[in-house]
Amino acid sequence: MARKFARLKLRLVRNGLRAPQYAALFTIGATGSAILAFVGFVFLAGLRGDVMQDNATIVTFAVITVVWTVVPLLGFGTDETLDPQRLALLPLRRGELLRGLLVAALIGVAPLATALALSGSIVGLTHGTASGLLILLAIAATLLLCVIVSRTLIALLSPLLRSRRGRDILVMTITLAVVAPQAFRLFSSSSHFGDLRNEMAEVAGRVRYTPFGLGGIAATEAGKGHLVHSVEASAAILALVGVLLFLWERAIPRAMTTADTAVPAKAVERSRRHDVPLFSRWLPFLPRSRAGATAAKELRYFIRDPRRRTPLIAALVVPALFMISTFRNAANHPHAITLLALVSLLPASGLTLNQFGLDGAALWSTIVTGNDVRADLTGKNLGTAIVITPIIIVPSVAIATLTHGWGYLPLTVGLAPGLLGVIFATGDVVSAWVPYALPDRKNPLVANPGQGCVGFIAAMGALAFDVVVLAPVGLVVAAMLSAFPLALTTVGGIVFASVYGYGIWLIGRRLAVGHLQWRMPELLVAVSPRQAG
Amino acid sequence: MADASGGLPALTARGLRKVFGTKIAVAQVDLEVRAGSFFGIVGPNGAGKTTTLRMATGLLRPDAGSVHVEGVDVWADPVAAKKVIGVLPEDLALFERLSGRELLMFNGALRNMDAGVVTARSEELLELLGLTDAADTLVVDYSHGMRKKLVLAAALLHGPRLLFLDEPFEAIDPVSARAIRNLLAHFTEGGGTIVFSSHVMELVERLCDHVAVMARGTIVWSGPLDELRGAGSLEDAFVQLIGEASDRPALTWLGNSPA
Repeated sequence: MARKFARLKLRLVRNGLRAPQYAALFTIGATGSAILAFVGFVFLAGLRGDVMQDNATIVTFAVITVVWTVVPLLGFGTDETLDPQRLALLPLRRGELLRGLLVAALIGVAPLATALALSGSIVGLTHGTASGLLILLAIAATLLLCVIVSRTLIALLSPLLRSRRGRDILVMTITLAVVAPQAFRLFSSSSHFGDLRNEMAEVAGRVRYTPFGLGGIAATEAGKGHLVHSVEASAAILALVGVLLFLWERAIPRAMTTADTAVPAKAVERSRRHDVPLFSRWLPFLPRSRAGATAAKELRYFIRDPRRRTPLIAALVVPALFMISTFRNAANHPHAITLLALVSLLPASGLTLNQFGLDGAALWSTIVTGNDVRADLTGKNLGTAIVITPIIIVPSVAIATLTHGWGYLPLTVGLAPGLLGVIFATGDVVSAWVPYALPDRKNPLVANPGQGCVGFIAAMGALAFDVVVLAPVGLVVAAMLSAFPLALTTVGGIVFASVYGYGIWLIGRRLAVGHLQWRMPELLVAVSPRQAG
Repeated sequence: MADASGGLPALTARGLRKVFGTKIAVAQVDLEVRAGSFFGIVGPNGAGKTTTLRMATGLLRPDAGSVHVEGVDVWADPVAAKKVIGVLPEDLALFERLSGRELLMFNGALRNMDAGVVTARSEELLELLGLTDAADTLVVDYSHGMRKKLVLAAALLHGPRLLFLDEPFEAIDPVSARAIRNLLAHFTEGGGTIVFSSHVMELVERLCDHVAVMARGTIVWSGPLDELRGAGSLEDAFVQLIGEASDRPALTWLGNSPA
């Protein structure tokens, strides 16, 4: 049975490569994984003889295990061979099913990349045959733990993952769980910050007594010649694997028979019957036009769709961290530090880079109502601007208060619309030229490989471009600040930034509209890959 | 381009063709649909019905050929064409995080319709299609049948003259199906045209006055329904046209013993 599952998995990978749109994404995904595997391998191998070798190895093993635990829950990197529901009608015994699913889970780009990355520690740590063999055992045990922990968690959480609300809650919880310790760390321990060696020691000290640290301990102990300790750690991992397999086996029948929507639907709030649906009464200025409706829809999505909320929370983290660090040293900063609150605009660029990809296959419904891309982009930009406004105002006011830099507040807030214009221009152009489909979140067990990489490359390129195009504003304001009084700089800087930003936005939007106006069907195919058949 | 009655045909397709990689989805489609008719496109799975409808509605660019709706070239002047058509596609991808009511308002606003008119029409359509109770529920929580009804409401909202419906009755409960049938009959009586794709022969037979039979990416027959079926049923005429063998050997082992 295991061999049949292995063949099925390989066949699915091969068939996936036959569809051109998946082949491209698969290639990008595989290349990204190969790069990560290579970096991991070189890092672990290159640690040989380094003072922080043990700690860094333990942390690397732990990070890889944590990634395997968390990321599949978000719907990435898994595929249909691992969905027990697809096999529910076949007369298979639980043991057969478990072996088959395990083999299918072990075959793929991600396990291969993980194995390659971890094998760097063989080069980095081995002293003699016995230690080499035990390091190999530690790697194999860690890989097994990684694969099985992700499958077991998905099977255990499948009732939650198969309901829309459950997935929403999970995405938010994991985002906050990843973000919160960062903020806490920055806020609490200032002495270690920036010192990589101490950081490694601290993190290694914390994870070494958790299941995530066991693999690294087994490898490093073998490297130091403590063979018994290494065997003990590997045995502990394998015991944990045994427990997880037991839980996985118990959870499979339930995962096979859980309905897709377990939570009853709840109506959205609509307080007064005569309200115009869609247009919130908090935003009476939104025009009742195509652009206004698009903005209103975008705003609803920011509140209701975890795919929008997650990048939004990520965009909030940077200003939050910035404010915390400023708060700690408030007295030492010059008043002009208030201007740095504008940094909180840059993460916002991530919200605008794949604006049609967020619409997905539903884009057809805007296409059949006419080809007004200008109004659509204006609406999308307007919606994002409304969301970003508090993200820029709150840190500006907070930092001005903390540093007594009130004089700089008008300039800081006044520069924002111009800078936002540049960010939107880049976002519109990238959205038009590099649209890509986002994974279908309805089924958490299926995802299209490679899209994360496309998004990442687009985001980095856009960020670099933003910095270049924003540079003139920075230079003009800096020059004016050194030559003129603050009041004059405030007026002159705001006028320059506004005119410049508005101009760039018009150019960016025009380029995007010119590119898309007659290409909407192609855009629809690009953001909904399954539609091409 | 005038039809037999002297007016403009509601839909004219000439030489439509679409190839995906090496697969010819639509080889050659020539079609003319008279204004005011209830026109059914029937064909086996993979015949090219959905691809044809997507090309006719401006959602998929044809490799060759042209489509005119109410005399407007869909691919040369998409904005004018989309003003007169309403579409219910096979794929029901929607803005899931809007409520049904919000989605209708969104569609109306995209067409720059007056908010008061959209609200009034939305309420009527929601009531008629039995969606009033679910109007404030997010679309993501709708069943397949509810989504279909909501898309139909969105397709009718702006009062189109030509409706494209891809399998409109699939997954619809009998009560709603009857309401939709009455609504569509009323639509054609008022001069509207419906182009409707299905492989449920009984439905096509019951609703349509004209049919086109598609197979392997081409129209193999097109004309009045009565002419096609003659004295028999549409299913018989269809099977005969498509050339499916009806005397395939039976599976002798079926029902005897499990493997």
